[in-house]
Amino acid sequence: MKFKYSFITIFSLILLIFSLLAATVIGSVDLTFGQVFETLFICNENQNSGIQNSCSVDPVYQKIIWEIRLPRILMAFLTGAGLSITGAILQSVTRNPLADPYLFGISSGAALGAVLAISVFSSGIISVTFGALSGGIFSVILMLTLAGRAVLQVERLLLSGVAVSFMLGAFTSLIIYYSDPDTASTLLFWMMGSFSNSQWQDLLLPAISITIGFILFLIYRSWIGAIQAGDEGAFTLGIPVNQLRLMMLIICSVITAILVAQVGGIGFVGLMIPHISRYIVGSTLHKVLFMCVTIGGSFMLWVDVVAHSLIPDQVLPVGIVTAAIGSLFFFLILKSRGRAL
Amino acid sequence: MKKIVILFIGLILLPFCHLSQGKDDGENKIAQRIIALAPHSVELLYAIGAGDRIVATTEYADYPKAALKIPRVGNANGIQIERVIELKPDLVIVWQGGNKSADIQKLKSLGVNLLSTQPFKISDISKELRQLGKLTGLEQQANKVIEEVEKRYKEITNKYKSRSKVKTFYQLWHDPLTSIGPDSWLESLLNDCNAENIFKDAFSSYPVVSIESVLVKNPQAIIIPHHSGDNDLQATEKTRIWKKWSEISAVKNGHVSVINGDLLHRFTPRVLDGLQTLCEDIDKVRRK
Repeated sequence: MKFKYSFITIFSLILLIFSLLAATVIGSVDLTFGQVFETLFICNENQNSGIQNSCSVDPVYQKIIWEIRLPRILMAFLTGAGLSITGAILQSVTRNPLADPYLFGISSGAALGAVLAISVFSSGIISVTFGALSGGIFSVILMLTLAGRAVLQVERLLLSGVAVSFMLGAFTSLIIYYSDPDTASTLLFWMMGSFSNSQWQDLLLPAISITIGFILFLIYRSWIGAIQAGDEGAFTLGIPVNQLRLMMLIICSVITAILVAQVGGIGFVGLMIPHISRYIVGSTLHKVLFMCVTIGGSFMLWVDVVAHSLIPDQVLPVGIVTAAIGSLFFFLILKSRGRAL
Repeated sequence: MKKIVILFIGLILLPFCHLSQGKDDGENKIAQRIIALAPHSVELLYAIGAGDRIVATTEYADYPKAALKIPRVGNANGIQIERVIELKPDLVIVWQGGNKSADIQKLKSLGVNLLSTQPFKISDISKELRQLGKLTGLEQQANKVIEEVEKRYKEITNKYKSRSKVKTFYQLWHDPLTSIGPDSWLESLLNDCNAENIFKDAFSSYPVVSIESVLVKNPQAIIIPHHSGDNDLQATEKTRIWKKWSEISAVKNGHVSVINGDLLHRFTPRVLDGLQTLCEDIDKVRRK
C-alpha cells in the first residue's frame, strides 16, 4: 500500500509538471518545448545587462511566454488547487459529499460585488476584483449572522448557505436585467470564469492564501479527520468541534473569495476533484489534499488549454469547459467505480 | 350555462375578428401611426419626413433630438406588447436581431402590420428607405435621401477601392476582448475602406479573442470604437491594454485609433460620417 501511494505521488507530480509545460507550449503561437525551456531557464530577461547568453528565441515569443502565458497558467493552477483543497476540507467538516467551495453563497456574493462594481459604481472607483472580494466576504458574514446559533448544526449551516446564495443571486439578476447590453455581456463572461486577464501581481494574494490555508489544513488534519468520523467521537477526544469547524469554514471562504474575485465563478472543480482524489488515495486527509493540489491544478491547466484552443482564435469561458469536461470525467469515474465494487 | 359558454367562445374569437379587420384596411393604406422598435428606423423615418407619425419607440432612439420625446414601449429586454396594441399602430417596424424574437412572433400572431428590418450592409439602408417611403407615401423624399446616401457611399468606396489592403483589428469590446467576424455589419464597413479584418475567418460574427491571437495576426491598424455610454475607466482600459505590445505593427507605428462608435453602429445615413473617419484613420497606415 505504501509503495502504491509513493508511486501515485510521483506520477501525479510528473503529470502536474508535464501539464504546466504543455500549457505553456500550446497556444495561438506554436512554440516548441525547447523554446519554452530556453525562455524559462536560459534566456536572460534583462537583455541590457550585456551578459552573453545563448538565447535564440524571438523576443516576442519570450514576451508572450512571460507576460501572457505564465501568469495565466499559474493562475489556472492556483485556482484548480485552491478550489479543490477547500472543497475537500468543506466536504470533511460538514460530512456532506455535495459540499463545495461555493456552498455558502460566496460565488453569488462575489458576482453581486462584481456587478455592483461594474454597473452601479460605474465611474470605476472600485475595481471588479475588489468588489467581488468584498461581495464574497459579505456573503459569508451575512450567512453567519442570519444563521446565528444554527451555525453549530451542520444541516442548518448548509441550508443557511443555500438561502444566502439564492438571496444574493436574485439581486445580481435584477441588476443585470437593468444594465445595458455591454455591461451585461462583461458580467456574464466574468461569471463564467476566465484566466485571460491575469497579471503577475494578481497571483500574489491567491498564492499566499492558498499556502497558508494548506499549511493550516495539514496542521489540523487529525482533528478534521475526527470530525469527519462524527461530532460525538470528536467531542470525546476533547476537540473543540464547533470552533474548529467555524475556523475551517472561514479559512475556506477567504481562499474561495480571493480566487473568485480574480477569475470569476468556476464551478464543479471544488466538488469533483476531492472525490476523485479520495477515489485514488483513500480518505487519509493529507494524501487527499496533496492529490487535490496536483490533480486539481493539472485539470484546470488542461481546461484552460481547451478553452483557448478548441475554436481557432477564440476563447471560451473556462466555467463552461470545466463543467462540460468535468461532468463527463466524473461519470466515467462513477462508472468504473461501480464496476470495481 | 349556455350563455356563459357562448360568451366564452366569443371572447376567444375576439382577437381573430380584430385580426381580420386589421388586415383588410392595412394593405394599401398609408401608414399614419407608426411604432418603430429600432433606433435606426426612427432616424430613417425622420430623414424622409415621417418622424411626426411615430407614436412609440424603444430606448436608445436618441437621434434626431425630437426622437427623445417619443413615448417608449420597450428596451433590449423586451417590448411591452400590450402598450403596442393599445396605441393602435397601422405599422410596426421590428428589428430582427435587435428585438427579442419571441416579441416579434407575438406581434405577428396578433396580426399587427409588421415591417422587419435587418441591415447587414450599407445598401440595406437604401432598401429600408425605399420600403418606408412606399409605406408612408413619401417616396419622393425617400428617393432623394437614397440618392444622397448612394452618391456619398460611392465616393468613399471609390476613393479606397484601388489602394492597398490594410490588416485591421476592430476591438468591439475590451473585456472580454471581442472582435468582429464574417457576415457582420462592421466587417462590411471595413471592407468598404479596403481594410482586411484579421478575424475574417472567425467561427462567429462577434468572436471573443485573446491578446495572443491578435499578436500573431499582427494588425497594421487597431480600431477602437468609443460609445457615449462608456465611463472613464472603460474609456482608458480600452486603449491601455495595447500599450505594452509594441511588437504589434499598429502599436509601434501609432495606428491605434479611437473613433466614434455611436456613428458606426447605426444603420442610417449618419454611418457615412463614421465610415469616412474610419477609412481616413485606416488610410493613415498607407500614407506612412
